[in-house]
Amino acid sequence: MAQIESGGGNSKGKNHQKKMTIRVDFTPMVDMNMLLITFFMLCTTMIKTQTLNIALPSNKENLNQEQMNQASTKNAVTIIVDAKRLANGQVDSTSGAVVPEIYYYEGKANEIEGQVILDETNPDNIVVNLPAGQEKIQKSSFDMSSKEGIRAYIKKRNDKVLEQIEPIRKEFKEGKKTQAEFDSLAKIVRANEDIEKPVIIIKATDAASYGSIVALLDEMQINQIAKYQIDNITAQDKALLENYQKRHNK
Amino acid sequence: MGRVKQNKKSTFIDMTAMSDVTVLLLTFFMLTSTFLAKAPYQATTPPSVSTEEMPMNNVVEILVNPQGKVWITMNNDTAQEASNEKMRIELLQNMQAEYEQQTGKKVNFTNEQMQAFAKQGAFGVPFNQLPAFLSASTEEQDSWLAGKEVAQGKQSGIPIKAQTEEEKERIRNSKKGYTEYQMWINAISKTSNDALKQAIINGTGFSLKADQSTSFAVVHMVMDNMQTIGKNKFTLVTALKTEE
Repeated sequence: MAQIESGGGNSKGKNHQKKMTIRVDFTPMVDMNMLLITFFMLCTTMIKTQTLNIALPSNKENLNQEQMNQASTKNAVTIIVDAKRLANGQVDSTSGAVVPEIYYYEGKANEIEGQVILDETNPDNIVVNLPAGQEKIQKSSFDMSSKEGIRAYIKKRNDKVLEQIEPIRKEFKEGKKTQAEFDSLAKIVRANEDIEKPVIIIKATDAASYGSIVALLDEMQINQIAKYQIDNITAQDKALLENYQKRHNK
Repeated sequence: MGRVKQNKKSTFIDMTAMSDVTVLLLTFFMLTSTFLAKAPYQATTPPSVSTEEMPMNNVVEILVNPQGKVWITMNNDTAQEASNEKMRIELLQNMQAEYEQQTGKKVNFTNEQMQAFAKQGAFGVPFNQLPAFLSASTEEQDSWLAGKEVAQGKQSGIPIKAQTEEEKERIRNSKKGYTEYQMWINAISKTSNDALKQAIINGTGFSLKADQSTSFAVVHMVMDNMQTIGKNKFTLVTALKTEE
């Protein structure tokens, strides 16, 4: 291939030309190309990054209050993300990274306020007035395959929406509907005011990691939650959480 | 005695075909590649099932490190009408005005410094140190951004909360007392790029990027900063995870 044969095989001619082969050695060329390929392979990003859309509630007080009121007592669920703690309340970081833990309670925040008494003059003085067995807060886990996991809980709460979406999903899985069609139909179901569905409020303590919040936001997408929001953790929430941990982390 | 005659065989391997293949591969990689941008901090983004792709243009990426330092990258290629260079210079002028209005201090830039800012990738130093940063060489800038020269007073990252007592006082006293980070976001929203403005309204204009092990308290502080100035809608940068 990389050779040119000059002269002919015709030996009849008087001027006997020598058969000459010019070969070009391509090995260095290949070497160089390989180096360039290596460079490009290492310097490029083939994976395009994805994004997750979030909309925070407006900071304007009145608007926020209005949104909170939309969540009726029956449907409001507050999920609190925390990290695994030792018996003394310190974050357990023995394995190097914090282990996310998840708690939730049903109902409006101000309804359980009766269980927590805040001293206005001294913010550190919080009294939790909780008879045993009446605590609303419950522990769940990030283990998505477990029955105790948060996914199972959210699924159960959102079953009325999921019931309606399931046949559409089935058609989508069978290839009868495109992704865009599925998304728009699912959106219609989610927006249907007649279906009873939970409003989820996500809160996190300072110890929680960003990754665990995104995992939780992901669950909202997977389980077709129509309304959810990220909110600031309140002193009441913190007190309830501490109380729960004190009782159970022995 | 019979001697075995060894045939002299040439060991020459024809590399032409190999060369052809490598050139093809090389062309493929050259055409499909987008280069990794130089970043002051490498974050492993959290996995998510969201399949929405990050747009290439008209997006402002906000990188947050676990210590709460923030850097901003504007992604707009030069082919756009509102090119990066044009937009950057406008942004710097907006920021200059915003900073003067807020703090009453004017930070001056020379023409060269403005040009240097237009060519920057990720940026993020306290605003009063920005002129000195822009005059520095590329190597110096890199080590500055990486936070290797903090001992010399060269701070990296845009402040997301008040740094001094004086600043705390300013933010507390006026209703519109902004942190430096909020001033930047405001300045970005004011640039005359309609596509970016529309993206900000739609919620795809700002993208928050942080490592998944970052404490949520840090990310929440940045979110709070956005929330206070009415930029409630934005996106989080994630890596694709398949649904179980």
